[in-house]
Amino acid sequence: MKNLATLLIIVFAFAIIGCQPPQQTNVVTTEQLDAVKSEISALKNQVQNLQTALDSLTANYNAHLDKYHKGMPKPPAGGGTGGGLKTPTQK
Amino acid sequence: MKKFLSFPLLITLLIFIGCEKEVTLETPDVTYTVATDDKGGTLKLEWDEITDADGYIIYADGEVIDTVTELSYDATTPAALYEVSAYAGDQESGKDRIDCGAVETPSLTVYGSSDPDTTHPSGFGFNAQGNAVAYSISNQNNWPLIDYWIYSTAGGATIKFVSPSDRTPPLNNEVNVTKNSGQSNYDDVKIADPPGGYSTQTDVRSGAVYYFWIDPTNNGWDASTDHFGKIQVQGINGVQLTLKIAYQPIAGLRWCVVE
Repeated sequence: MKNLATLLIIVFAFAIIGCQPPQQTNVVTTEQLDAVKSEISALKNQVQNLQTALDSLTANYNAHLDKYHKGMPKPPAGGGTGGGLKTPTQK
Repeated sequence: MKKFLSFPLLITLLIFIGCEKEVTLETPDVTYTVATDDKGGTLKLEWDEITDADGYIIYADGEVIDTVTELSYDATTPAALYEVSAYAGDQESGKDRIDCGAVETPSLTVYGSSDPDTTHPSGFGFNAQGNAVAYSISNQNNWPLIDYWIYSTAGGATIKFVSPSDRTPPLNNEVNVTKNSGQSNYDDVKIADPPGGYSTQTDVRSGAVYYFWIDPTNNGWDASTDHFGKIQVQGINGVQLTLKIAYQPIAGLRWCVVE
């Protein structure tokens, strides 16, 4: 009789343990997901804008070099304090 | 009776001769200006009238070059020293001196910009006494003091006197120029050319004598800030230059006769 009661208790305990709902893991809600997507989209736009600005600056720099510094002698080879030359003037 | 009359006459004549006033001539106080019409080729000397003077004697480097009765003289012969005295008959006053000699720097060593040793000076300028001083451009504190920069390519294939404003980046804003005189005898170059044909960049050749014109304000010739002189390139060794330089301290005057 004692053994039966013990068995019942054990079965009951297992039943209770087995019926526990699974513990919740990290769950991302739909709202959070949407917020992250939105943030990523904004960052992508910012990178795109930076790329456009950089392209524009590069183009302006190259145009300036072509216009004002084309054909200018390079600094002397072989080290030294260097420095280039402007176009000479007479007076 | 005749003898008696001629004796007082003789005495009177002797008294007149003996009483002739001895003239003491003061030394003229001479001032000068640099003539603008020929842009520094003429030094105009002026002085006040000296009492009892018959005229004035003009000396250039110790030699009498003219005698005038006016109170001014346009000196067009380049010299290191002008003197003026007053004269009356065979008496002559003391001489007032105008020192117009160029200040010489007998030897200055500078290096082209391609010299591997960046501590070597590749620029030079002039101090308050008119002596040339070499400056290293690796020290930016020297940049305002530099009147000419020495540009060179590797090995010294090309070496140039360059205005500090013509360097990139510029050393300062002075537009100073040079011109090859076409002469190789330093002492024969007594006056720099007037403005015209000077360049902010001039190729350097061993032995050649160059005129230089320092024009800090780049306003053309003027007698307030401009200075002239001559440079002889005494030797070139790779990118090393040895220079002999004469600097005229009188602003605007193109004479470069050394004292």
